[in-house]
Amino acid sequence: MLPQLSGANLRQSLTQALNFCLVLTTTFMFWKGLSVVTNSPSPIVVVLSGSMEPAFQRGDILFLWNREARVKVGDIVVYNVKGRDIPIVHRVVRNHVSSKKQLLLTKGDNNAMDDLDLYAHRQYYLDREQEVIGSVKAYVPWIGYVTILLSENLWAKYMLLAGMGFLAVLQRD
Amino acid sequence: MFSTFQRIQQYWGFVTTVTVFLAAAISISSVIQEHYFVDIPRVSINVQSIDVRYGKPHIGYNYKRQEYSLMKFDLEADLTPLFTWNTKQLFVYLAATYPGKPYANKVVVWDAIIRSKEDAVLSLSDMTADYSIYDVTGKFNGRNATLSLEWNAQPYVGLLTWNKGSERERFEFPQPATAR
Repeated sequence: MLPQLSGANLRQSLTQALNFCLVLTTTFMFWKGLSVVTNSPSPIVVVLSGSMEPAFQRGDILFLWNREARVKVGDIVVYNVKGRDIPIVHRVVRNHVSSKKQLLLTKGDNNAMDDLDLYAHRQYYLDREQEVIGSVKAYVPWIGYVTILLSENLWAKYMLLAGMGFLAVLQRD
Repeated sequence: MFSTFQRIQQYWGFVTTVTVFLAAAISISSVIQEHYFVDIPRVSINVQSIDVRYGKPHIGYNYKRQEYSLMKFDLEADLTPLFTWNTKQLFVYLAATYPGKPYANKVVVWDAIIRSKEDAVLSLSDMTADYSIYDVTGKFNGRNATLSLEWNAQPYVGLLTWNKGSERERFEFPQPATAR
């Protein structure tokens, strides 16, 4: 069961490792390529909160597009308040556009109040250029729930690692 | 070649490929249906009353004292043709658009979520707007505005679509009721 470090087996193991790295880097290339095409730092996001229910549930996957110079009222945008790291997915309910910039106010469908309390102190609007990282164009339900399970549930992580280890051992036979 | 692992792998690959194509087919079919086969529903909007007051539009530390406006409206719309087999919900909203220097402005005054075809006939009379309008500059100065009904169709899978009714109701912001 244990690999023997003879010539042929070593080459085989190295080739497998190389193939694995190739898969990783190709995935990374695809992700970054998508970032460039959509002009968004994070072109695919998983919904983490219930603030947009019943439209989006936790675990849904959203595809973003960030090449629109001006977002419209009614669009669903993902934004990062300056200085905070949590991206928020909410709908644009107000919009003030000048030739130089666009100010937005957002609100989650499932929230009673708009997002004014989520913005920085004395910040009354979002700036489309600086804080919005994309608007939602397409949606796939609950596939992303796996990532939420993995990041929030320690048991799921261990089970996955154990499963992968088990499969690797099986494959040797 | 025929190990259990190989079989699971091939089966899983097949399942995921088929699911992806199915999702794409559902999404494309509903977008085509919405775009080419559905007439824009008739909408009728009427502003019953509009009021401009001075003060804080909402309770909360981030709201400034400024002019804000409340309105009452009538709305009749039959949105049943918008429901396709891929429509999960319809987010409907009434938006007021008004000009300004340097900002052109658009504000949602009322919204609703329609989850099924049965609920898609709207017949509201003397309805108070959910949200008040307040301007970036804090003042309205008697500007003109138009009110229109727009919607966002949320699918079960695929592309989200936005559209609007053709009728636009015009109104004017009155001067504030009480002197400051």
